[in-house]
Amino acid sequence: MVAFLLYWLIEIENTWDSPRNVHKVLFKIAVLTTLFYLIAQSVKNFRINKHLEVVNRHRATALRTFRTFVENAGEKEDVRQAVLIETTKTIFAPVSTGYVEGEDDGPNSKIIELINLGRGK
Amino acid sequence: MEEQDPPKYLLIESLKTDFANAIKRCEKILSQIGKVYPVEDDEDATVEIEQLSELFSKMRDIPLDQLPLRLVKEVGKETREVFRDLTELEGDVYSKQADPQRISNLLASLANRLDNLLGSLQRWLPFLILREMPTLEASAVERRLKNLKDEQDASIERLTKTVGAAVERANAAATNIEEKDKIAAAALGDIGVSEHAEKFATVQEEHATAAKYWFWGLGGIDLIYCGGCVSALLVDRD
Repeated sequence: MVAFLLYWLIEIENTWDSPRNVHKVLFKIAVLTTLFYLIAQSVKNFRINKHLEVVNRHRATALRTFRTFVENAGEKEDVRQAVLIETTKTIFAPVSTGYVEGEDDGPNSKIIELINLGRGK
Repeated sequence: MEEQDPPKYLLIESLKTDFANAIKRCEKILSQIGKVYPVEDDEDATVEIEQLSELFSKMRDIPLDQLPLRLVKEVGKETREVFRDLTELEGDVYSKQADPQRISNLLASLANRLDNLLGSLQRWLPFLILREMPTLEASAVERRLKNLKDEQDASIERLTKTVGAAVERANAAATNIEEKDKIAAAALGDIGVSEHAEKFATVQEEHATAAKYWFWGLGGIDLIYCGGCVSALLVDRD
């Protein structure tokens, strides 16, 4: 592919510095750059949207199952608190989905820290 | 010039006369009712007549001489109301044309008025008994005070029951409100969680749709790119 591109890009007719050749090469560079830019942008947007889709599905599932876990915990306050913390983490903390590079899995959310502070831990 | 009230002794004398007249007229009208209407068959009328007779006996026992001036005036007004009812009753009874139900109603009205009148007087009975103490025998004072004590005890018991029931109702209502509050808070929590879950689900669908569009857009651009490459290869360069 690279060889083909180079061949196509530097294809010359007479001499290197003829105006026609310079014009053709510049035009081809512009076309290729545009295409690469469009492809890169599309890939980036696709990955971002897939990432957000997965994150939001995860949040919706966590909230839909939240009451079930809390009710099954009964009167155990510790379990209730643990479920609450995990659900809050799911909603507010960054989630790694594999679509976006450089994702941080650490629970560094300020909200989680505030909740822990409120619980005295 | 402002009209002055008559002296107390005149008012008391007038009240005594009114009471005596009222008692006399009532006794007469009651005997007349017994002749004209078959009150034995009318249970309500029989009860009213018995009540009136009891009230008259109480009225005779009231020591009017010792009442305070303000009470004498008040009782005088109420006695006039009694006379008005009595006159109406006499008119109906002597005409012999009134409906027995109407007679019964008038008797009930008269009994209510006399009851109110005696109620106003009875508030002063403890003071009157105390005033009479030097002139009454010990057994009579003891008996009257015992009756008063029984009445007061009965009132206190009735009040205690009423207040206790009210307190119980209030406590039950408060507990009920707390329970309802908890249920409402839990329901609101559920609603909030469900609402947020739905919002996240909506956003997820939006991103899924956008990702799909970008995927097909990427495919289109790739197609253009590959098409360009192939056409560049196949084009006749001569």
